[in-house]
Order: sequence, then structure tokens, then C-alpha cells
Amino acid sequence: MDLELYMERVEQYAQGTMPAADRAVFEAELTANPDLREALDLYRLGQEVIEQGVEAQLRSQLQGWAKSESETAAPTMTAGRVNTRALWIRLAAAASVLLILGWFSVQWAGERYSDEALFSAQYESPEAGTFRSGTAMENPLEPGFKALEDSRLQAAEDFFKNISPEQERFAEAQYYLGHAAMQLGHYTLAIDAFKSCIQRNEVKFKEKAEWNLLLTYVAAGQTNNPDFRNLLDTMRNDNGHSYQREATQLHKKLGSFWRGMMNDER
Amino acid sequence: MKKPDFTDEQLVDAISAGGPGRESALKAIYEDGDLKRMVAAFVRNHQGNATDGQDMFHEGMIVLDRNIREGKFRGEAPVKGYLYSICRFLWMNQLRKQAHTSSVAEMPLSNEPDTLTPEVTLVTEERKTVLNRLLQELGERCQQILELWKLSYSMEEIAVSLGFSSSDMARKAKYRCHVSLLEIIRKNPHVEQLLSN
Repeated sequence: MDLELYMERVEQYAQGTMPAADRAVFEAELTANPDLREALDLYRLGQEVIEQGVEAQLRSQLQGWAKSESETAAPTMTAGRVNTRALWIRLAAAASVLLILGWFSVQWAGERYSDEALFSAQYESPEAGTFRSGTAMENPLEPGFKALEDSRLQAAEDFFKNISPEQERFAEAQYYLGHAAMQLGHYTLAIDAFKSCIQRNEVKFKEKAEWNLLLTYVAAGQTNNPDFRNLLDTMRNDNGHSYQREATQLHKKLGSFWRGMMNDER
Repeated sequence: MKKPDFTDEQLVDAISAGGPGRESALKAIYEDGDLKRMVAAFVRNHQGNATDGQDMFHEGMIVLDRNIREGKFRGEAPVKGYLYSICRFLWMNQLRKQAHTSSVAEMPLSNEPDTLTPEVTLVTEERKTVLNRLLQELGERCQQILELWKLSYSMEEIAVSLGFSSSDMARKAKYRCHVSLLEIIRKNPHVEQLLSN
């Protein structure tokens, strides 16, 4: 069934914007055309899925409001009395504080802006629930998914490596090979796997693979690699890319003052 | 700065219309300290603690928002009274599920007069999990587009909010994302089960 054939009419019908005359025709067709019925069912289920996202968004908004309220309600610090000790003691104390602050700043920057920190903050290993798009019996990648699910990364890597380019789910296998290899620290293999997935140009995996390829470069400490820079620039300038926002944030962090300071210290 | 005062009618209109006005209306309801305290007190008097009270208030707000957008709230009671009833219903339902007490299933919602029974659609956790997974399979940007669209943001507002060059580009992206979502659902092994429930 070609969903796009029915999409416009189904949307009009479900949203209640279809003219009454067309509505009667549509309802008559519903009884005779199982594809149209299926399209309408899928559309309604789709609405339920989107609603879950709306609810999650509101839940997070409510938690934000609750947090702001509790912060506002917290007692504010009162100013302490001025210490009247000798000036040199205060200056010495101030110098010590500056030294300590400097040291902590470098540590703080290291914790947040190092390659490792940037990678850890951004990387999400694929959830078990998203692996499967067919029943376990019929999905040839099932043993690899199971290995990933059980955190047997080497077994997963070995399995996905053996899926040949002629096989139907090659792009998918390369995508998960990239994840397994990246988590094992086999960065060259991970980079090759994500690139290979991207080349297959499958909508479901391409943009996710591009983002994970960027993160692999970060994890591997290769943020000066021209391929990394080109891909990062392409993604952050592509308004239609699913990871444009993440790519923009990553670019910002890579160019931040704190990262610069951390690198100067090393 | 003085917060805008909303009448019940304005609250319902703003939430139903969606778009940016919905958030202001929800915030106005959220900031009603008396209502929050009432919900917290009810939960505390029925085996809950302060965190449970806050959680119930949040979940009640989510149901209220959905019911208003879907036209299930018919204005037969004040909005805040309706929200209070939803929160009580949700908490008692949770107690029943957790079976904290053997007699809770037979308990009335409360001793206070109950002027209305809120229409609350309870989605099982299993179904929510599957629906959320389906949503996660879609890229984050597609999720944002479809969520804004569901909240009745215009294509112009979506374009501005998500950085599309025009409303036409936003419309095309919305269409592409919507078809992708339905394809993801269709290919999911649980689709038959989801459709039959």
C-alpha cells in the first residue's frame, strides 16, 4: 500500500476539514477499500504517537516550572559582615583564591570540554527497543541485536562485520557495527562502518549515522580531521537535518573559550 | 510584572487554539498555589507524600491539556475544579493499581462532594512504551515538527521556531516526517496489537 496516495484525504477526514459531500464518498470508499482503511488506522495511531511526544514535552516543561519555583522559594544568602583584618592578609587570601579558582577552572573545563566529556555528554547507545523492525524469527540481524542488548560488544561487532554488502540489511548492520566498534574504542572500524552506512543513503539511518560518525571522531580525538570539520559544517548548515541543533551545539563547544583554555594548559 | 489574569473561557480558548498562547494559559493554571496545595493535601491524606502530590498535579495538568485540546472538557465545571477532580482520580487509580490497601478499590474518590467525573483516558504503561519507541525512531527534528503541528502551530510559526526558510519548506518537512512516522508504525511488529486495542 502506498501511503502517500491516501495521506492528504485521510488527514482531511481525520482532522474534520473534509467537505461534507467528500466525507460521504470517503466513508463509502472506506468500506470497500482495505488500503484506505489501513491508512486511516495508521494515521490515527500516528496521532497517538505524536501525542506521547506532546505529553513528554509538557511533563518536562512542568518539571522546569517546579524547579524554578523551588529555587525562588529557597532562602537567599545574606551578606556577611566585612572582615577588618590587615590588608596584606586579605590580599594573600585573594591571591590564594585566584590560584585555586584558576586550578579549578582548568579542571572544570577538562570535565566539560575535553573530547571525552563532549563525547560522553552527547552519545546515546541505541536502545534495545529500537533495534528491531521485524519479528525476531525473520530478522537476520537478531543475533547482533541480542549481543548489543546484552552488552556483548565484541560479539556484536564480530556479527555485524560479517554481514556482506549484498545482504538486504547491510546499511542497518553497518550502523550497529559502528556503535559496537565505537563503544569498544575501535574508532577506525567505527568510522568506516558509519561512512559505509551513510553511503547507502537509507533515510532511516543516514542522519543518525552522520551524527554518530561525528561523535566517533570526537571520541577518537580527531576533531581537526578535515572529514570531521566538513561533515560538522554541512550538518549545522542544513536546516532540514535531524541533528542540526546538536551539530551547532557541538561546533559551539569546540570553539569555546573554556576548551581553548584547557588546551592552552596542556 | 503582573501576570495576565485569565477567565475560564480564555484559558480554554488559549489551550484549544494551541500555539504560543497555550503555554501562557497552562503556566497561569500551574501558578495557582491554592490548587497545588489542595492536590498535595488530598494525596497526603491518601497515603502519599509531597513528591507524589507534585507528580499528580503534573499528570493532572497533562490530562487537562489533552482533554481541552480534544474537546472533552465541556465547561460544566470551573477549569481548576476539573483539574482537581482529575488529580484525585489519577491518584486513586494509582493507589488501586499499587494495591496499597485492600479496600481502596471500593473507596469513593473522596469525602468531598464530587460534582463531576473527569473523562480520563488511561493508557497502559506497555502501550506508552511502544508508542514512545516508535516516536524515538523518528529523528528529533521530525518529532519537534510533528509536535508543534499537533499543537496547532501554523506553518509560519513552525518555520520561525525551527529555522526553516519559509512556511512552504516547513509544510514539506511536516509532510515528509508524517509519512515517515506512519511507515515506521506500519513496519513495527506490534502494529496489529496496537491497532486492535
